[in-house]
Amino acid sequence: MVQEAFFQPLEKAEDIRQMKRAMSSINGRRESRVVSTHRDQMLSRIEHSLEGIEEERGSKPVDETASASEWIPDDIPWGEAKKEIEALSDRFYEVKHPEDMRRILEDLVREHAVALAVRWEHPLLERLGIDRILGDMGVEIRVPSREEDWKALSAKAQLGITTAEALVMESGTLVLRTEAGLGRSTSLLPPVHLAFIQPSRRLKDLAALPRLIRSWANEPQGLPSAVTLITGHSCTADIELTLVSGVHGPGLVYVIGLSPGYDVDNEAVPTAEHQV
Amino acid sequence: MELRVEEIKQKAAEAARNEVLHQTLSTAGDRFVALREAGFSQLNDPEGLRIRGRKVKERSLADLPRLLRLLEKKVTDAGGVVHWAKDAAEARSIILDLADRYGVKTVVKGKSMMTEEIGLNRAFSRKGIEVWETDLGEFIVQLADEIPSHIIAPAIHKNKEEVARLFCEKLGVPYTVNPEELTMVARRTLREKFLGADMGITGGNMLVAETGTLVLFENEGNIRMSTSLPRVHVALIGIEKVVESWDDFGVLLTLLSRSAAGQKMPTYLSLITGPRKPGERDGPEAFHLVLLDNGRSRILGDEVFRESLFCLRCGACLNVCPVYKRIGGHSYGWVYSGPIGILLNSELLPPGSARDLPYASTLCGACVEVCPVMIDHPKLILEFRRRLVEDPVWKGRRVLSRIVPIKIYAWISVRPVLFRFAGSMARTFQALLAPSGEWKWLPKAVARWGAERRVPWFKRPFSSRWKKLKTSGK
Repeated sequence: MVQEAFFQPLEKAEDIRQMKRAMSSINGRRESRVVSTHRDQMLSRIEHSLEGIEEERGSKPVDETASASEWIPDDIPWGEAKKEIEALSDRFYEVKHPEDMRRILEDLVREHAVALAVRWEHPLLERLGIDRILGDMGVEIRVPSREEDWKALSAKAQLGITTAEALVMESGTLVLRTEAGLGRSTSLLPPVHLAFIQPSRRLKDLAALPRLIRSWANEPQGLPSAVTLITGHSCTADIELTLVSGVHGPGLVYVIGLSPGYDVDNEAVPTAEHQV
Repeated sequence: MELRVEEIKQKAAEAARNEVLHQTLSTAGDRFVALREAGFSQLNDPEGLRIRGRKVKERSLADLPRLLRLLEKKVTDAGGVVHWAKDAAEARSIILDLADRYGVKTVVKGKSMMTEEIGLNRAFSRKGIEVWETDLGEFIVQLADEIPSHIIAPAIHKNKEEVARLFCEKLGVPYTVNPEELTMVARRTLREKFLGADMGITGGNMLVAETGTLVLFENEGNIRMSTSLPRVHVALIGIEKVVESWDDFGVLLTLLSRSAAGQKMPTYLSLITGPRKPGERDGPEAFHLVLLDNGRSRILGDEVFRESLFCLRCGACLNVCPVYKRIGGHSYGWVYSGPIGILLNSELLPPGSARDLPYASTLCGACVEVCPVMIDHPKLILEFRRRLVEDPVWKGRRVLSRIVPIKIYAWISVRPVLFRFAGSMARTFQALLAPSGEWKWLPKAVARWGAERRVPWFKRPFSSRWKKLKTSGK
């Protein structure tokens, strides 16, 4: 019967099903669903197809424990993440002192001729005094809440600055949450992406991701509209398998890992003009 | 480009003679295979993971109605809209209506086999809506008016000289064979389109029912662009892609990224839950999820072929297939190619239109070895062949093309008068029908039968030539 139906024209198979449904209601048997809309028709067709399947059904028990236990201790070195990120031809720096930070950013600005940068409105970036450091180098910094056409502006910028909600050590993956002030285009449109990550926001491996995502889903506001996991920079090998960087998004990613206590010990005092 | 699965033999024969294509596909195949092997060798228990992956798909499909209802609720709670399309025509009409409703003039598309499956680009073009493929490989294929020839490397059949000529002709840029420069041409062209597009259309690698989240894998960033910049995002995805939980996602994530290109993670993994929220400055204002059946529920009801719905579209089975490496993706005549293409094309296309496909396999089993969810392609292909010979239409054709002619011949051959008459008729009309042994004219119904057969030259019987031969002394 199954074999015959497989080679029948679709309409005919559907006619037979409809006839069966009609027959069963004539016989006074209760239909599982009242067929009224496309949705219900589709679902009832699927249910019909699954009749007689013995496989295991129903929810699997879900591990609801908080993700806090997944975070690795601050004193674990950054080595593994650095190795992974550099293997993807991106840059990783661990920053212990404000002088290191200034030097790295100076090199970045010079190498990529950064004149305009866009950044997230994130408390960490404000604590780090990024605006003042880059401003001193003559870089213009813009934030979304003060702009009319944020997407067009981001497309003009040479640098996009974000933080990351988490970093997976095993793969060098940055996990970014989208929220008001923490937009998607900042890490996407400029040719260089710079991300800051605190040592307390590190996960050992990818196996920790499901629990992290579920812990966000369990928050009252639910999951953000977009969670973006970034491992390396935009690339393609669609022409003769030649790897080319920056096909659509950034061609280079800088990740700056902060040493334990860096942002507290070296908190910048925002000046009036830099306050957001 | 018209998709014509009936022409598989002709296309395959042409492709098999193309040595450049063969070389390109072999090199690419070997590269992908090495990447996959390196990726899997880092895992502690790759076989255990494949078994878990298979279990996830088995469990999800067995529970599909509940998961789809849960998904619908969660997507709706997050502010998205769910549409249900039973076939390609319905899906096209839903998406065209949306384009109409939002006043869409330009569409950017992320790579999606589903939109190829429903022929969406042609539908947009007919409506006068500008549509741009944005994955570099798909962009090349669109400019060349072709279809993708590999699931994850759509333009694998084109060399850089061909791409250079194409860009030169269609985009009016100077000729260059440097892949980096060619890629930058595409970046500049498409960046403009992304910023001006009204609607972004993507497929989806997974749907996580517990939160109503669409999961998208990519390396280029074009999918992020398509889901971040236009004001409307439409995702078209097959009903079989839904899984229940983030734990299921975790299992398939590892399998898919390592099987496709040996990566621990794709460059970008986007988890989309509804449209943008208040205060966000980018991301779509509206999110529409179109769930497509298009024959999948029929496959689900078949206890043997159900397994082909486990496919994650990683492309690993193509890279190891000796037949694919010889004939290329276009020979499979429709959207999907390689071992999984034989199954999906045969199952999803109208019955009878892909009868030759199950024979485009050596049944060597290399595909089973690499499939992340252990689909047994050879077993399914053999089952296809078995059902084909038992299929009444196929049987009817066999009776007409073989048994009936033999019976007629047998009947005539024992009646000498009739036999001589038939012989003289054959000699008379042979020059007209098959002058050089090849059929010149045949009714359409038997043309395929005749294409593979040469006609012997009918001579007068020896007995009637004997007298003449004797007198001429030969």
